[in-house]
Amino acid sequence: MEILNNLALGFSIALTPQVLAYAFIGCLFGTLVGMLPGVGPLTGISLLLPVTYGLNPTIAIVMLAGVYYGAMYGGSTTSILMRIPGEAASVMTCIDGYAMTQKGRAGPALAIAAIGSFIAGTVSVVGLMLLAPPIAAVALKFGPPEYAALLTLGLLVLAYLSSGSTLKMLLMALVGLLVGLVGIDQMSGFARFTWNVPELADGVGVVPVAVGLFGISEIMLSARSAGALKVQKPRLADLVPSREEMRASAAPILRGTLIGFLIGVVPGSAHIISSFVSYALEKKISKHPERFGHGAVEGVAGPESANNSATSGAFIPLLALGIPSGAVPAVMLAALMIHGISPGPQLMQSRPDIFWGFIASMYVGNVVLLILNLPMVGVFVSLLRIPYAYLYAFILALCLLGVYSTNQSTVDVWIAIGFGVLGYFLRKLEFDTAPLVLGVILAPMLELAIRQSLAMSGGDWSIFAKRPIAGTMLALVAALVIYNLLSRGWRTRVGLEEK
Amino acid sequence: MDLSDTRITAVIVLLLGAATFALERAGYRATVFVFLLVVLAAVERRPPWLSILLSGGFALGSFYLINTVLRVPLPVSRWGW
Repeated sequence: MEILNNLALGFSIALTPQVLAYAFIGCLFGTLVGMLPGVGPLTGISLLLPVTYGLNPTIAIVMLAGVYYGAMYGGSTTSILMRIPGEAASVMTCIDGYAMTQKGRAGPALAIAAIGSFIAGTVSVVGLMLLAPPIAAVALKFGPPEYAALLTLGLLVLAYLSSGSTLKMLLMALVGLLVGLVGIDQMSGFARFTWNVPELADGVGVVPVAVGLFGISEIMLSARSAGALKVQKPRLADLVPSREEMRASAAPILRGTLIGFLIGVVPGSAHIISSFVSYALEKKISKHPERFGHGAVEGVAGPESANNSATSGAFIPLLALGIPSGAVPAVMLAALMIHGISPGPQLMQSRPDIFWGFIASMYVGNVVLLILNLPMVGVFVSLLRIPYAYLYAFILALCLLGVYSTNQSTVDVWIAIGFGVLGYFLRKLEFDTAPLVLGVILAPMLELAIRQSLAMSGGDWSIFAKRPIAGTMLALVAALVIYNLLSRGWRTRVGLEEK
Repeated sequence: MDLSDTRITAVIVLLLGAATFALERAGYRATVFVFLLVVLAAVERRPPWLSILLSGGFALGSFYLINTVLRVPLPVSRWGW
């Protein structure tokens, strides 16, 4: 009953015309920055932060949150239509979303992404409202060993992402981990592999790597066949998913929502990891895993729901404990502190208007996103009518703009070009480049967590087994490896017997 | 490995490299305008007037949106453009 009263208070704030208008602006802006390659939610929120100085704190956080989940949706649009992830969480959507586009099913892919995002966003806000205190309490128990074990588990999931050779996949993950180690050593301050280039001190950014591997290399591979892209007329009927597609998407949306929410609570790049995990899970449990990579609607529904759901989960440690779980919540924490608000356990008591106004605005924001995006799906699909000769020229210019504007650095653009060339040859050799991106993202976190753990134990590796949560997760890692090896061996034996 | 598209790939890499080199020297607007013009008019052999119109429109429009409206600094040449 108390929750309902609080929620009523929240809606009384969130449904005022001023808050609604700023939620709309945030969602629209977020969708646009999510669509632009290289300009993700972090850049979008950073850009809007100065605009919020003159606003009241509730409106400020409502607008910035709108940018966050708007970008999650917007990122899927360019992934599906152009195989360019607007931001890192949309990397997995590229695979089957773009394959659907090539099969002439761009409209249903965009519609499923919108519906999945809406359901995941709404359901996960309910979870945020009800489960914030107990889940945050569990996440609070995570120290470096648990974090290292969780990241190892995340890396292991790569084994399930490979559409081809496991060895090739592992090699890609290893290359990603090595690239992720470039930059200043976080423990000793020693510069590694920076070649006296100051811009490399902060490491190789995920944005230039992802734009290079997924954007520029795609243009290189497809530019020659400029007329090959099948153009669709943006009729409303084309956007409606078939009954079969809706049925196939239902369970992945629900699973993605749950995965995203749970992973979102844990510090790290939750929305990125959750979409990888969701994709891997859907592929693993599918009766026809060979469809993945060739336009399986489950490969769009699951990851898109997971990354939207993770945004709500990521707010739990921020609102309940005052601990940002990633870069985006950290910027939002800064925004709240500028307004004199300290998020934490006291926030619900001291400023219920902000806490519950924010919760209610997330429900409203999800409706705004659905209203905003479903009618505009036709506009996005109409992009396909532009001859590819024009489209690829502007995509290249957008890549240039997006990568440069992230850090105002031409070094990032050179890196993107380098990874574009690398991606071109890797894809010619049938390597899956997604594990490379995840390796780059996870390497600094994993290294820091392992070294902090070893510092805690004085170099004793058994710390990972002695801590219950870390030990359980590592046991899960071992079980998954053994299961994978055994099932692979069994399939090989059956294959031999059949021969 | 099929390398029949090597020519267009080399052209793209060369043009992107040239654009990156010119970006902070010639400014965003001039660099992107020339880059798009070369791709559209020279590489893809599209009508010159349309190529000029689209390249100019994109270079100026994107600069206005990103630099002026969103206040994300984009490079400007020493001559102010």
